[in-house]
Amino acid sequence: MKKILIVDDERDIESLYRQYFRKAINEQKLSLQFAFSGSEALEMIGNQCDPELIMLTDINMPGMTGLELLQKVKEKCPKAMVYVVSAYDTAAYHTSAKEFGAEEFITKPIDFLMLKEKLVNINL
Amino acid sequence: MKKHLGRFKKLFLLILMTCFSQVHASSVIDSLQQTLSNNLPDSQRIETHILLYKSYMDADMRDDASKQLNKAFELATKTGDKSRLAQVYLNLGSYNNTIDNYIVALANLMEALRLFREIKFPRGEAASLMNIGITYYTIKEYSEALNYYHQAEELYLKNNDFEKADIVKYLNANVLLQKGWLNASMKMFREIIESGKNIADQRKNECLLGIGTVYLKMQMQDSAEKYLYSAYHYFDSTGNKEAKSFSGARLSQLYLMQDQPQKAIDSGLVNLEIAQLINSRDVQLELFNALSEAYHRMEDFKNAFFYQQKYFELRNKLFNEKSLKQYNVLAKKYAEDQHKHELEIVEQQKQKQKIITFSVIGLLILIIASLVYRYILNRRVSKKLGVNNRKLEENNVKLASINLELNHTLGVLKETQEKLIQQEKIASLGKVTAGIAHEIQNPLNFVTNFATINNDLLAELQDNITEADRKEAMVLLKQNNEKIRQHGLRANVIVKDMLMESRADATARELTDINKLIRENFDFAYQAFRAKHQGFHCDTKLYIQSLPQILAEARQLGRVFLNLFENALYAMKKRADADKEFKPRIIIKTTKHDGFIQVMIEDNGKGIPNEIINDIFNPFYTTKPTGEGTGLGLSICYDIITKRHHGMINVTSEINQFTKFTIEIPTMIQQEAL
Repeated sequence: MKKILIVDDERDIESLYRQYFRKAINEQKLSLQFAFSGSEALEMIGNQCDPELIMLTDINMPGMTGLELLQKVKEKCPKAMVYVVSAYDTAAYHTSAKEFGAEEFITKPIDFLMLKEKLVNINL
Repeated sequence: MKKHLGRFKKLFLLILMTCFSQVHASSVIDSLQQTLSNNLPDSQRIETHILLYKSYMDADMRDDASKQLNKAFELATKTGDKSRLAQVYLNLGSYNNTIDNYIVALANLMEALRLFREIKFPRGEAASLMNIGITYYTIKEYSEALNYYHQAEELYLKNNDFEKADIVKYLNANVLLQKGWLNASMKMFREIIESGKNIADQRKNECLLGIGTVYLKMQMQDSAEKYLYSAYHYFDSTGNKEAKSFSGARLSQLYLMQDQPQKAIDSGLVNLEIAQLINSRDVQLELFNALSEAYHRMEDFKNAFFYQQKYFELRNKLFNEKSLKQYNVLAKKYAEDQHKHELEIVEQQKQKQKIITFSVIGLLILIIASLVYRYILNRRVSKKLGVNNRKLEENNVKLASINLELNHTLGVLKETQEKLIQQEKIASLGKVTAGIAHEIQNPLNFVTNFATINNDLLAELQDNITEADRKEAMVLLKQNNEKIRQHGLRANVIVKDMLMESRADATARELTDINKLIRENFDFAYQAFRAKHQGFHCDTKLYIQSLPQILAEARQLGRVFLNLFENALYAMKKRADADKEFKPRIIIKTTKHDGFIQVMIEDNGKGIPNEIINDIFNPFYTTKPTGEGTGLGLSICYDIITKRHHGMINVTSEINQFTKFTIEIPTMIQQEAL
């Protein structure tokens, strides 16, 4: 089962993911964890890196931005797979995300069905 | 600019004695001098000296006046008569203020205050307090001035001296005028006129002049004209030259505002002559400024420059202590140089003497030669001196022109800064709007997504499913529906913001129900905030008094309230995050006053630190994380309240206790502006 950490400052995002991914969760293909800020996410990751860490993070959040979080996580756990999500589809964001080692840049609004397929089919 | 000063100094005299008119001054002086030649007890002698001092001051004979005061001082010190000594100190204070010796004046007045307190003479005490206030006003220490006026007024009221209390109140109103608290100032002027039934015409018209000036500052030409004219004609009829020229200076400013530069010049020149005659520097300052501006508009640049120069010259003379000091240092240096050259001459002459001694033994030719040498030497020396003097003069002129240039540069700099702020504001508003457009994407995404999920759930319900699954689906449906509603509302608020930002008639004046505006905006702010921060709850206390509808820019005012509510909620949320026990509470209070409406918004959030409370109305000042605040909210609020509605906005706060915003919006002004 793949454990996925989702980071977004919009709390309602949790309800969306859980309902969209209900079947996958019930079938134990995925399990979801949520953090509502960068620092909360770092706390949850802790000092021991999960070698199978998959993280999805929003960019625009108060405090630490998603890109900063990406850098910190990659520093700590170079093997982590990080997906960056943002409504601001700018070249600068794309380049930075790639440079800092993100797997992919996902543009909002999120196509949840596609995202679910992507996550379920990740080859760790 | 130092305004009213001249009149205040005059007040010193008014307060302390019966006013002798200048016409009678000389005969009064004669008779007082006569009295002094008689054999008098010391106490009477002191008082006569004081009266003589005042008469000389009235006749503008300052040196003689000062001599009388010194005599009174000597006698009072010698006899140890504390009551008389206190009086002398009081007058010394007023004298030193007149000759711009403010520090000494304050010391004198403090001593007078101490002595009056010691001998328990409240009237003297109050007079000292008031004069200390006046001195502070003169050096522009307005808060100190207000403090002392306040003490003086209380003391006068306690002793039932209502007339004097009114004088203090009048002074107070002028401080408020200087501080730009126009409504409060206007209110006070009006109170003085309305309260005193036996108010002297002089005072009444001084208040009218004050009110006229307030209107002038509010740029309400018609009202300003009415009051200023009335005061001007009164002072003209009573022959009060100082007050007349003062009103005249204000009229010139009004003409400028009315775009009648020629009229401003005509009236300005007449009043300037009067002001120069009575040596009222404050009036001259105002007039120089107005005349320069008027000539500039008439494109008579020569005269414009002339009066501008006059203005700077006088202002520098009065206020620019720094350049004065610099000037003094330079002048001293030149004096020293000159002295050095004189020494050189002596030295050279000594040498020359030696030569003469030798030449006596020597030949006649040598004597002649020495004479020739002496002649040349002298010419060289006097030439050197002349050069030096010229240098001094040249340097003075240079100094003055540098000053002028500096002042000009400063003006340009200020203007540029103002423009820059304006430009940045516009640019930043553009960014804000772009940000809002993106911001709206978020709630819209939620609406779409939750609706999509609900469709799926409804499809499931139509299938054959277990009772447990059906119940779960129903709960989810209901939850999702609520989310749709919340995010719809959130989008609504954002759209409303955008409209306010972009609508062309955002500044249209309309009859506004402030209470309704407050309620609407609070609901919006609260719901939007709750949509973003679930579980946040705050206790709302609304104390609302029925208010008259006022003519106002409702959208702009709405924006102010929305902004203040958002800030309050934000501050309470911050405190709630840090303290689980904390119960957020907001108090909103509206009250009707004579001439204005007051709105008070008090939250019990995290508060504003003392060090930054003065910055919060500055553009681009924000403590919020990047992206959350532009730092423009309160600066725009400030402009909307003070500039667009001639009101005022104040803030007080204590860390983790409260933050209280108080807004005052004049009612009458709004209607008159129609």
